[in-house]
Amino acid sequence: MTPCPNIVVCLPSLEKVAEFRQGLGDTFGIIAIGPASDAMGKLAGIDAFYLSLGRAERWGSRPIPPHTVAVLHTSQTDQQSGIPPFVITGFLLKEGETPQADAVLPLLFNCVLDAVAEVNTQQPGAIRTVGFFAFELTAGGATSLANSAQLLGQVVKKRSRQ
Amino acid sequence: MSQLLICMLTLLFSLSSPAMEGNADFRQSSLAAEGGTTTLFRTVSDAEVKSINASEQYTAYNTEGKYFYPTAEQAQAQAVENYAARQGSQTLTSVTVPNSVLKGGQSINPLGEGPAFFFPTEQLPQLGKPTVWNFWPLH
Repeated sequence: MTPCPNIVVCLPSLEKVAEFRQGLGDTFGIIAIGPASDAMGKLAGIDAFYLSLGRAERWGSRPIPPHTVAVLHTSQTDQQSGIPPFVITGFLLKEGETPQADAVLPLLFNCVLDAVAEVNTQQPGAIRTVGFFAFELTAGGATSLANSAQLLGQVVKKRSRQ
Repeated sequence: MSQLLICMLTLLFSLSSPAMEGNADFRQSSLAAEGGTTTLFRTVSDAEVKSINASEQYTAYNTEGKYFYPTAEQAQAQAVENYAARQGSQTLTSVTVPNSVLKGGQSINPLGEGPAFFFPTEQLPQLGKPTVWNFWPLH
């Protein structure tokens, strides 16, 4: 069994943290933090962010096949400024597919966690903590934080049982 | 007053950009076939603003290419949430692209961002001169 990494969700307000935590229910291993400021960028201990394709542009993201993600390396300079060593990005919808959160977000979360497991297979312990932001977690606002928390929690629980 | 100005500009940008709900459909549309232009948007860092002002085109350094969005709202969304704190100040830019050039870009549909176009670095000079909307800073 590949252990699930810790998941940190970075939210811009205390209200959003409360909403997210409400959706989490009794799930362990997912931590919501806020408010924003630039605390997230400088938070030590996060090994990878998941960022949408456009937000990962500066690390050389480029379109990849739908329903897959890529793991990019950040520079030493980035890391000295608080950026984690890995950026995970790339989840595209298939042609004609609608961004229905309940169907698509679990696919995204599993893709990200699969990618983490693959990195950790090659470099044991390289990614122990993954960070998400509200924009990516809610598919750009397509769903509520509470619902995305519930979906993320279900994925983590399912993977923990495997 | 500034809020009203932003709303009006957003409306203007949205109206001046053709509906791009399905970019795959757009590629096959009569608009794409007949020529014409399409306005695309992206938000950029201060460093990229300087680069655009100096070269009058989008240029990419150490990246594979750049992403562009058919609406100003989509571009703005890239600069919001607390990740913006790591991006620094962001400025809205746009470029009006001949549809013949647009067909050379890669039409994609990223989750969260909505329909977008990706232009590899070598194609960026073909896009033309960008407009920097300095009066609409995004934080």
